Amino acid sequence: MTLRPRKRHEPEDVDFQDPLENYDPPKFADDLERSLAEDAVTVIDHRPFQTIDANTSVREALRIMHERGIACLVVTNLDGKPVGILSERDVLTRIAPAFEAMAEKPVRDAMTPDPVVVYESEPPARAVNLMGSGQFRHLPVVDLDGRLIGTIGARRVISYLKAFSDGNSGE
Amino acid sequence: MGLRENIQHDTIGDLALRKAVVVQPDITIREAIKAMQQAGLGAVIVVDEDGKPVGMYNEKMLPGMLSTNPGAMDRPVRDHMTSYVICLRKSESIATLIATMEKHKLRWVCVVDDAGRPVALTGLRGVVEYLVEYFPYKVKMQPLQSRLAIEQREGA
Repeated sequence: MTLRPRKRHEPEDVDFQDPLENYDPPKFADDLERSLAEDAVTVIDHRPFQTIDANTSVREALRIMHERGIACLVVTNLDGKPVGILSERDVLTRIAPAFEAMAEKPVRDAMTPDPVVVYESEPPARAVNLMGSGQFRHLPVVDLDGRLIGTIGARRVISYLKAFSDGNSGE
Repeated sequence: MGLRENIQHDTIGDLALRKAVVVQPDITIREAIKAMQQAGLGAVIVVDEDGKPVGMYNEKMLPGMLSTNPGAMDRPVRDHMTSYVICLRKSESIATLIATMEKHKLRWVCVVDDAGRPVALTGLRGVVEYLVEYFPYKVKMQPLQSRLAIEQREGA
């Protein structure tokens, strides 16, 4: 007996179901909605950014923030991974009320440790959600190895939003 | 209606506004900071005797003041406030708010009543919160504390 190639639509194939037959691709009302869900978070401006060592004094950190007009410094380790954030809100809540006692202490004593980060491959919607939750003012953006590649704050999110609301796709 | 139309149509009154903290010009910066901390806000509005805004003191000013003149903590807030306060009414559109903040590079905008007295504070964060509410499915479904599902690259 010789084998013959099986043809399509023979009885064995009747039970076959295309697993994607009921798949509805996501529908988006506009370019912004699509971008929020599908782009990488790096479509939001995330540079420039400023890093600082955890052993730097609080006084020196404040000088850097003031002279460079920066709202947040990211504290990184030797691998370039974020280990903390020092923002103006930290200055308000932890440093200003006790500045004389804090001034020569290292930044690690005043920073917010273990910051929540956004990976470069995650969508802008995650960054927006974190900021809209009221818990996070600045987010470090990291590569897949966890190394810092930028920061995102509310102003940069608004600039991203405005590019779309002005009719520019942002691409 | 898309976002572009909605931000023209929706007003500042539709945002989740924070009650403005108002202070007199002669209180010290230390007291102003305490008021900001208690309210969880980054700025206070300085008002005159009629309750009209004459200035703002905000957290953005702190690094400069502390690194150059820390003794100013016990000076009156009038000596270090900015008199550059942009005020808008609740009836103005969110598009106007965004354009105003972009134009003047502002983080906070004072919301005033018809008599010009501060009733609320809003700013960049208020607009981000609006965006979250505008796209509840696309944005709120995002996890707050997620880690990468795959933390190391696959393959060789």
